[in-house]
Amino acid sequence: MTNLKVPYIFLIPSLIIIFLAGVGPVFQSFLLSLSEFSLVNPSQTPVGFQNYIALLSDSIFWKAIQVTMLLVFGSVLLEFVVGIFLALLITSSGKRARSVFSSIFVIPIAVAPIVTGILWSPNSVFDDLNTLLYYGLSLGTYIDTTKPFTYYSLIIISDAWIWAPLMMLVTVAIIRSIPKEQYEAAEVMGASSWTKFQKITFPAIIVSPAILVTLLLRTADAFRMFEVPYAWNFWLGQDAELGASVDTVSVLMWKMFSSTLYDFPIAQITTIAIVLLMVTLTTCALVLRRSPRLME
Amino acid sequence: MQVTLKKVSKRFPNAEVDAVNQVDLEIVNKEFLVILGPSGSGKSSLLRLIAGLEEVSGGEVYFGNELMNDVSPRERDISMVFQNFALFPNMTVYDNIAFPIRASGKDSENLDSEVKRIASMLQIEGLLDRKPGALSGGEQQRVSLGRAIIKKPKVFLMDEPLSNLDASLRSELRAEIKKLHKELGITFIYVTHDQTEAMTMADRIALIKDGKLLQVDKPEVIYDNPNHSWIGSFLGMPAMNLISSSDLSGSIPSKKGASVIGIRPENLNISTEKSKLTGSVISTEYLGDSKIINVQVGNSIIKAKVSNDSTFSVGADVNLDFSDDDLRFFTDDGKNLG
Repeated sequence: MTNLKVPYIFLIPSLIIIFLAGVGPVFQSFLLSLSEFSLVNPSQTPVGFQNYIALLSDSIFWKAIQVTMLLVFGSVLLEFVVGIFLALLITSSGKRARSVFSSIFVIPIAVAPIVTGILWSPNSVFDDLNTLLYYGLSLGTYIDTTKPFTYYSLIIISDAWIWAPLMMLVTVAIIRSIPKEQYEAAEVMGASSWTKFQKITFPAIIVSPAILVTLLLRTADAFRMFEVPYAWNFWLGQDAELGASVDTVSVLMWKMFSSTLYDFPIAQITTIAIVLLMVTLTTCALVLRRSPRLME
Repeated sequence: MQVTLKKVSKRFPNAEVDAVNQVDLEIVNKEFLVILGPSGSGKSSLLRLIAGLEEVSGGEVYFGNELMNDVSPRERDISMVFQNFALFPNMTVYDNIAFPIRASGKDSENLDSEVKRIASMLQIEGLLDRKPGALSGGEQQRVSLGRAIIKKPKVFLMDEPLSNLDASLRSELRAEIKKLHKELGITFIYVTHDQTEAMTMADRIALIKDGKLLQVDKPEVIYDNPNHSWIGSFLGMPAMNLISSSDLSGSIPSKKGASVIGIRPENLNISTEKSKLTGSVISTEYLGDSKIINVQVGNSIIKAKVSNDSTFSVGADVNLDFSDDDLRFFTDDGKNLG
């Protein structure tokens, strides 16, 4: 046996575990999505791509995909921007302020997402705020949380509230790794703070593999967004309705499973899961294709 | 532009001693002044105080007659070159060189021709579309020189610009920086720990140690007549021999209060006749163009620089001859008695 083959033999046990734990279930789900199967009718009969055809011609599913996409890109973008802003605040402040800021800013990461959905609900925040706006300040205006623009914005903001600190931590690390001489050179050359951000800090952030990986992870994770939109189903009184205006794909799957109106349609839910996986993988692949630096 | 430092001090937060201690220095207009010192001597801090990148803890910095203490680096009309080049990695060479003009909002239609003129002057016109990461160290430092001169500053500051480059490139760029100084006709302040750079480029050298300015003078004066024994031992390859006067017999002239006598290795000759100093050879070092002979005299080891074809066997007694004019006398605490 040559030495070259030995490492591969040692890899075999872990490859088996990865296959059993990772690839196996996905493959199993894929097989399931090609059959007729529910908890009420547990005999598994192959039906080919019938589930996929039914799903892709279902307007409720397409609506959920649109809602998910909107929330994914909205929240990841907002997290990214707010993260940079917080990072600049931290890196430009003094030592003591820096440690206070960073501990405060990181708190939302530790808050359970469902709690976030409740914290940012119309009842707990906006009733009081609206009372203040309408009566307290006599502005004659109020925030109407039943308007789509308002509730989508609020969901995006509350998701960004949780995850912007993560972007902040990564961005702080990137900013710290920029040699200070670059800023000093720019300073001596007469650059303003804005020019320094625009020409040194921002380019360093966007070409950094670290921020790209974080954006990818956040994007993949946001596709599975559940808790905050789930909470909003109740705030909007649409919790019993399939295809509610805040149903992400994950919420849709949950509703299909939990509703007594259906026969626990495992095969259909699995089909959605496979499609969601494809959408997520495609999005990540597109992001990666646009960023050759990560692949080097 | 004349740069004047009056009792300039710098103490960093939490530091126990001053990084720069009461430095008085007058840098004449159009002069090439080299600030030379070992690492940690405060030479870079001194340059950064002149640039305004650090605030002085005490004293005054003048450009011409203007007090600069509270003027930001942006408004000091200076350029600076850094040891690690500090190029902007995400911009092309062209954009790097054009940066100071664009950043200060003085963008004009001559910018393009100006960038190209400077690039050809520094022989980097073929690299304008590249990013700094794709350049060698020498090329990067040329770009950084280009970025610094496009501004037409009044004072040109350089912080160990050649220390990250290899030896052959250093000597090439030394000559080019010197040429640049002639062409631009502005004040250059150049920080280095490398005595060869200081000796070859400086109009005057300012020697700094532990934050204190020891001597400011022409290279030949500092080398030949250091006002402190430490300078003698810092400059020269090999350094000045510093011999305790008790190791020397009465035949050597001395001065009152002198406890250390210094002589440069190249001023010692090996003589066949009985002369002023006698000792035995401990070892020899071949340097190519010359040879160093280490001779034990009393408790001191004296180095003599001799021609490369002379041969000495270890253990043999040799006589060292010298002219009394080449002797330097220092007190216990290093002061030159002249």
